[in-house]
Amino acid sequence: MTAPAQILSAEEFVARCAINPRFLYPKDKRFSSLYLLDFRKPKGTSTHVTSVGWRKLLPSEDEVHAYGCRSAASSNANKAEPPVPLEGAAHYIGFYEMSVKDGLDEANDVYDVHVEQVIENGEEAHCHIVLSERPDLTKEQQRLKSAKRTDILYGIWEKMTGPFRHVCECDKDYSKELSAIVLPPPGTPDDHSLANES
Amino acid sequence: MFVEWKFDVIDVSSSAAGPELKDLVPFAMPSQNVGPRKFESRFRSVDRSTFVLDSSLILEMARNATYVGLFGALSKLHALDDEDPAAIDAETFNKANIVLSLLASKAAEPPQIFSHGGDAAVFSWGDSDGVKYITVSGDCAVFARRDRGSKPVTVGVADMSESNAAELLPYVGVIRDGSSTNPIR
Repeated sequence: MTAPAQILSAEEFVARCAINPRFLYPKDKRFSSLYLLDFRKPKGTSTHVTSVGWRKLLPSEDEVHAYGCRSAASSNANKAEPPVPLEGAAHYIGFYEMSVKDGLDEANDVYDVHVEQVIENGEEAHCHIVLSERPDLTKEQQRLKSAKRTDILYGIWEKMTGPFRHVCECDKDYSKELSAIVLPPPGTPDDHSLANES
Repeated sequence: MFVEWKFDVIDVSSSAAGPELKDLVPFAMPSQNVGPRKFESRFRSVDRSTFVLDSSLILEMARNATYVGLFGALSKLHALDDEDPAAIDAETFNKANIVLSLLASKAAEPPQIFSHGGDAAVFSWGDSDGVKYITVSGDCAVFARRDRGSKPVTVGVADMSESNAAELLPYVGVIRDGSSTNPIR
């Protein structure tokens, strides 16, 4: 029997790892930096989730970095063929931090927000920020669901702190390239001068 | 020999747009000037073979090039595997193209693109005060803004169920451009 998911309290903090190239922004400045949050909708559900690390179990920066490096390594190990570095391979390059309270505060009339522990690959620190639809939405609320999610994502992005950059030991040979990847300060406006260069 | 090209007056002061909504989308062209303004010479011939482009034309060309890239970016999102969290469905892709076309035709500052949940394409403009964004999903486009440190505000919702681009106009802002008087539209 599976133990019920542990819900994180508002006082907790979580870290969002930036793993290149899962997000589009650094590769193409026409895309918003919100891709760093990488929310996805698990099949057969009405929820949207993104993975974060629980700072209570990763209290130091080094521990978050080690968690991020393991996440990238796990992603690479799950690929059918060994991925090519700097192309298909996942590289952890740093993290952003947020308080759970800041996430909860973004709940609106369509989506509730919570953070829950979801142990994955033996990582007890692995959690999801979950956006779950409220029950009994009106027709108009149904119509505005996507826009309400956009509201939440901008709110979470604005309240994050960081980035805390890192190059994993296994990526030392690509340190120069990985350090050059843009990790924008959270909540800052997207840089249109960069967008126009693309 | 100089040949100066003069075009008709474009009055950008009295648009049919809602007075608040027209501020939502930043315009590269001065959309909020008061009173008629002359659209000055677009280019001059220095001699019979050499042309000097003025800065407004160069900016317009750069903006157009950026929009070409943005249409390509939307296509990239639509072409992604359905399993990819950044992919967008066909209806959202089609309606997002309509919105982007409208923004381009009205010389709006090029936005950045974001997508989420498989069914949402977002166009955004950020500045030091916050962010303005349009979420296109299925048959509606929602215009919103979020000032720094504040809650988001939904400015308006346009029904796109019949691909009715005209309904978007009040939200995008309008440069009045009677087709017979404006040579660049």
